[in-house]
Amino acid sequence: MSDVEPRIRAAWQEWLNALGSDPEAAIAAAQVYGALSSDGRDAWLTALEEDGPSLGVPKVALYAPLLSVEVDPARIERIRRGMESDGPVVSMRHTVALRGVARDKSRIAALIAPLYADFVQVLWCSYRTHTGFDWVRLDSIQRAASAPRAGDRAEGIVLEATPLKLVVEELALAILAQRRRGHEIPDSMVGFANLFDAKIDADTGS
Amino acid sequence: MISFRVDVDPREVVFIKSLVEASEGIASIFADHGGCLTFATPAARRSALVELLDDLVAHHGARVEALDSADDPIHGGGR
Repeated sequence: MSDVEPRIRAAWQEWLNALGSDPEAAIAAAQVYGALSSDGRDAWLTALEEDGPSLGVPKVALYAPLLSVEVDPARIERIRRGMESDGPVVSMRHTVALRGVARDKSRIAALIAPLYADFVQVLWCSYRTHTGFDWVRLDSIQRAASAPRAGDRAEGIVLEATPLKLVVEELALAILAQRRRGHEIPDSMVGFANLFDAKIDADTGS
Repeated sequence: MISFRVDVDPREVVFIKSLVEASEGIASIFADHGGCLTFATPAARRSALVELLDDLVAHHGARVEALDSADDPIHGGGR
């Protein structure tokens, strides 16, 4: 954006600054980005890469809204690289786990990790510890107020607050079972990169 | 009691520790340094532990050395 008219560039940067603290701006960013063409999205990312370093806004605030609407693998990877340039996006230390167990022993878990301001990231997993994953979904960014809570239902199963360590241990078993079947780990789970962060050891009570 | 030394990528340590702790009573695990781990288990649980170690070798690039047997690194002894 080096050849952009200064007033327009200032307005753009002011709007980017708002992403760090204004939930409405972040939601609007996702909507606007989602409506752009492929070339427009590439240009947006290029502009973020140029202007982001000079702003006092966490990178996750600039990129996370885009991740919620992007489906192109190459741009998703570009967004992830941008988000993680500040370091790990999600802290497992403050992540909360909900889990429900169905009658057939299959499980649904939601790991809710604070991102910034009023936003959280939610990793949903439907799994069986001895066969692997039925499905995995990553909600890259959503309002904390709309995140799942204990007592909510997912696919008819009541979610209960569960120690994070217990859920992570079950997910480890499911990953092992998945690999035994010769299947890859779902991409969405890889996006929740700090799932097996060493800090979880100090988090047995959450 | 039998034991194995297991070397893994240090980033895999928490994952592997989670696996062992979720596999009730399969072994005790001790972190020596970095990605160097020691697994210990009663002889009666050897086959279950070896099955897990096979998976770690196949899917996680682990290197395993039996500390109580001079023959085959993983499969030595009473499997």
